[in-house]
Amino acid sequence: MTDNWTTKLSAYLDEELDSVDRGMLEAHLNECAECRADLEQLKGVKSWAREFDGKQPERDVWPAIAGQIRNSPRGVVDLGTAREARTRRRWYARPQALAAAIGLLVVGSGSWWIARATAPQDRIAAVIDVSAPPEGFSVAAAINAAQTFGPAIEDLERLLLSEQNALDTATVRVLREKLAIIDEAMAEAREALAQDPASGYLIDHYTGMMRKKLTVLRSVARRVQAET
Amino acid sequence: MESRLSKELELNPAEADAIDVEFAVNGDTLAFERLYRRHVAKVHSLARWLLGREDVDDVLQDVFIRVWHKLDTFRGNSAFSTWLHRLATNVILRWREKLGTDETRHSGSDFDMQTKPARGTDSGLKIDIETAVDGLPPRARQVFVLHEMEGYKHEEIASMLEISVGTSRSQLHHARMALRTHFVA
Repeated sequence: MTDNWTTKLSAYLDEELDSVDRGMLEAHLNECAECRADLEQLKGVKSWAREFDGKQPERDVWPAIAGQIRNSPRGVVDLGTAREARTRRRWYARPQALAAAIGLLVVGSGSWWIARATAPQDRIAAVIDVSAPPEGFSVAAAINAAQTFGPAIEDLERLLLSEQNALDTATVRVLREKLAIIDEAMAEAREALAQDPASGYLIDHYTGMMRKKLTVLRSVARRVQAET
Repeated sequence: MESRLSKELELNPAEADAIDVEFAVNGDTLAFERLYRRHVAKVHSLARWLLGREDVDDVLQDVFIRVWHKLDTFRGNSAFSTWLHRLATNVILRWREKLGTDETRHSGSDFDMQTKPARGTDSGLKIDIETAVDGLPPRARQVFVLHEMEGYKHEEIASMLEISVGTSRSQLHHARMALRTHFVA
């Protein structure tokens, strides 16, 4: 190993060498075990850094942060204010959040379902057997998806409502809050589609959400079916 | 509650972030606390290593209060963690200007740190490497953290730290070489 080669290892690792230097270094690596070992170690450093998940502060600074943000304009959540604020936000502004929230609704209800209920076989079968919305989107597909999966979602919501006393209050509260957001988002999605039915962007998101619902519902239903 | 929700509802961290951002931006401090708890460890390490000091409580507070106020500017075009870390890096670098750095403790080419190969458990290895990063000369540590952990390019790092691109590259190389002995090839 020489310093000349060693200094090129980092650049090689980051794929910053030109083809000539890369070729020369690779030829050297074939012959030099020491440089090969160095390179493996450098890869270890890089990998460790990428996966490092941080170190908790010794003192929890959240109380200080909470004290300050509670006095800020955004302040403590007020359901009325929050609802008003939410209506100003377009439902499609955060598709990832919306999709995740819908996943939360379905998976959350489904997890509870598995744990607390013995679902009727016909209901399970109905959820499993429904057809997926087609990959290519269309207004008809979006409407069809809503009509097909709406009742299944309602079933899960009713089950959650009837058995909520079995869950801890914190979980129920969080679920309720998130369900409220989802309801609003879904309503806005339908409104947006009604006003702009030709928007491929809107339809794509809407049918995409439906596909996500279907995937998770099927997964939950199969697990329930397997356990009952 | 956080772990229960994440575990039982099978949310991955990015999904959990996306939902909590949605609530926090509407004023839900509980959702914001969940975001804080998911990300504080990495932001803490970032601050500690960029500033070269243990006591970064004020910096952490500043970062997360700014995040709270700027949350409605997050458009969801990238992962929340990416957005958070960009904001945190900017805030921390401003603190760096305000506080000064620990660079006077080291010369630029000071790589005489003691490095011992780690042995034993993974957690032991982790602590050992963290300690080794602590012991890097400030400039090398800053470049290493910005490049390897935060994903900045050398050109960006050069601008942030007011150094040349070449210096950024060489400091990164020195840092890696100093840390490499902790990894058995």
